[in-house]
Amino acid sequence: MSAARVRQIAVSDKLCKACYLCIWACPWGVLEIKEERNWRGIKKPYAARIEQCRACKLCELYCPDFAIQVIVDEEEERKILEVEESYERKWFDRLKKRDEIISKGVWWL
Amino acid sequence: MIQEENFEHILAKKYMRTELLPHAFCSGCGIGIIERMILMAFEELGEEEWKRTAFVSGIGCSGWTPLYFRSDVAHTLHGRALPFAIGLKLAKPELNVIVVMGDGDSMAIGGNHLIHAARRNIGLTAIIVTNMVYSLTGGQMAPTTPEGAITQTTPYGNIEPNFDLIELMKAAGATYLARWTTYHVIQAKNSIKKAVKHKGFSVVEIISQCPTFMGRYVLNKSDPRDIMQWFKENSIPVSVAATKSPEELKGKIIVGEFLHKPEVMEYTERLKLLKERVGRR
Repeated sequence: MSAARVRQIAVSDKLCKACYLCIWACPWGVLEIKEERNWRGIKKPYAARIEQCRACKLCELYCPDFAIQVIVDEEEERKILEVEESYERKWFDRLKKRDEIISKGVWWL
Repeated sequence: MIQEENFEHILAKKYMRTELLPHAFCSGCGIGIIERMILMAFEELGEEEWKRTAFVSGIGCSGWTPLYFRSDVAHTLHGRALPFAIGLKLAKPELNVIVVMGDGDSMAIGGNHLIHAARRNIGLTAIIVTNMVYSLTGGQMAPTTPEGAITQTTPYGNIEPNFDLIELMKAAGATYLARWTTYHVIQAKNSIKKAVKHKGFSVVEIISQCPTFMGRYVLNKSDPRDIMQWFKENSIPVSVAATKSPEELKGKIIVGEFLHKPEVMEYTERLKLLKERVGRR
């Protein structure tokens, strides 16, 4: 049985807390623990055998910290970047607007 | 290739306040999985529903669950999340009000509010996170702690029998009941979707792992992977449980959808009828 071609399994440095539920959930043994620690002092999992990945996304399902995502192709990568543009920007603009209003001296907003 | 330095999952980017992440829960905590269930349910329900939704939460680790959502959230007093939510629902009946509570919050200190909200059949969705001990304060005995478990306040074993939320809610008159564990992500997501669409009082109990205290005291294993494996092996669907004897079911978790009664009239509808009947002309 041939595996699906997976582009990347992204594991966040910022969010991963090293509970290794993704390794428990993976039925194909794709993920393994990295030897060296990252800047938060965590040995995060990485895709050691990415050619075995079937893109079932069980690791995403069981990750409590929203840290891991299977990126199958360029289409999905584009979607992620698009979401970053549309949602993040909107939210930060709103926060900025609120800060401006507060700086004018309206304390209840 | 996408940079892994500040990467966040696409659901988190869409629905969560990413400036607050990583969240305050311990490594391997089940509340993160419950957040994912809620977000996945709303991903399928659509953006319109998400904009019509407000969250209310009580005190405890589970009270922090909706604080990470880009939505309207009320973080209220201990055990009094339901009265706040009832007030919100009465003021704006068109809102979907979702109440996220822990077991101490809903069954111990707020037990009366829970049974009376179920009796009135008001259109709230209560998501109850059960982890069998009071985890925020250090692992004291809760009403859901199984008999014989050693906790901080019961060092020689718990002598009290534990609560069965589903039976209680059935007797009190709730109209949608489901119970899942954090192992059953897809099933729980479908239940939450159904509960949000359901008009009356709906309860979704999710048994969650707390590796720090529940794992240490109740199950004697503190690795989240072992606790997940325990959930997987010890949960029985309702249909299978009906054929088994009570001795076989001891120490097992019965999961599934227990009750769905869409025909019972909801409280705000009754209130509307009353207003029409006696209101000033």
